[in-house]
Amino acid sequence: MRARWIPARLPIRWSLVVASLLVLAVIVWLRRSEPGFADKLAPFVLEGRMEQRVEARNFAVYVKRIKLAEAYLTEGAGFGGKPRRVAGDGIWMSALVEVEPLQEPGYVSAWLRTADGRDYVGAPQDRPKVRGVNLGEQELATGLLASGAYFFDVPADALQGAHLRFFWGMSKPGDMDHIIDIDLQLDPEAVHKLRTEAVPMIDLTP
Amino acid sequence: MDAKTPDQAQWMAVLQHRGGLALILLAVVALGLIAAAGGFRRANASDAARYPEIRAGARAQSGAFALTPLRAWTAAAAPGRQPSGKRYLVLRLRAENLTDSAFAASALLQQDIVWLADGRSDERKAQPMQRADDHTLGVILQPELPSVVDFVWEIPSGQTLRQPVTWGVYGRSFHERGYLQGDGDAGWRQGDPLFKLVLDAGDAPAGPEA
Repeated sequence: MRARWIPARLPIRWSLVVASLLVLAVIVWLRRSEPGFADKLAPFVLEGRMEQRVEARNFAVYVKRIKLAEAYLTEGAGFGGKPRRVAGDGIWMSALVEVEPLQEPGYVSAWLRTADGRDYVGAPQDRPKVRGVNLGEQELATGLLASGAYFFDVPADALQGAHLRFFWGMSKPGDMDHIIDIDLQLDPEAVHKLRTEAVPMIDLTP
Repeated sequence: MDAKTPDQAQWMAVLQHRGGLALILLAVVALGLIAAAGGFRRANASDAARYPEIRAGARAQSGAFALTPLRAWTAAAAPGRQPSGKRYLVLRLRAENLTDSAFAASALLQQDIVWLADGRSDERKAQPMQRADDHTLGVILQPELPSVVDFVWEIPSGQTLRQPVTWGVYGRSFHERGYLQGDGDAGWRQGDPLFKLVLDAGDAPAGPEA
């Protein structure tokens, strides 16, 4: 026997059911389309191009040109070590750059972002070992323009559409900090020209 | 005289009850299935099946990396270094970064390969990995650009090297950054042990790398 307070037939308001489902669908869509936590803390990208000075929060860069080489001849290990040939696993790309810390001394690091989103970080100080030239892991003084190069070991087929990126620090770009993105304008013709001009080995010995 | 103890009477009651009989049959079938699936075998016996053994020249993927062990040897010095009166175990392998970023990739691989001194456990971490061609440290593993690298372990004096030598490799998978404090950064996090590298380690190979 049914209790008195339960109605014989529960009225269903279909308009309310449909409205509720619509609201739920909108909530799910909004949740899914909102940026992730990492996106919210992502660095701010300042875009630029070759032969243009671009200033970020704490540093400025000016990319003069880029060059390819199969290998470098660099100074050897220790004192008086024989010069050694340093080959890449792919091909070496060097970017001649002027970089200037604006507020405090520190490090400016670079990486190459390919058209499909892969990140190739700049080479460390000891490979290729080119003291005073390799700006990777080199401490820079405030207000002094440092002229040198960043070196990248990259697959030869990754260059087309690649951008050169810079950030303040050594490990990785900081949350919500600035990064500078330089469009290298590497269309197929430019890549072909670079590869044609690439030399088997560049002598970087002092 | 057909006198039954209380226990026997209880069991008879269970067997005569259809539900009780069904439960017993179900338990027997479940035990049979567990036994058939290897649930009662000793764990040691299934170790090789749990962790595939990768030999020299074979390629295996750990999620973030593809690894091809090339050779292993023992020597009086780490490759490119001067002898120091100690013995070293060297594992040379080709490493491919399968992620889309070189940031910290070599530090991750450094954590993922351990020497299993007794072949199963007793994990030993390697010295910082170095390139095989010029022995420089600070290896960068660029995406989709295979590099040949050396992992080096100092062999404690008095320890006999168990042959073939076994290394364990941990898996790594990508995790998005979460909203909670403890979620950590987005990135490739180490998972469970995935496979073993098993190679004979002879004496140092002839050549400048030894």
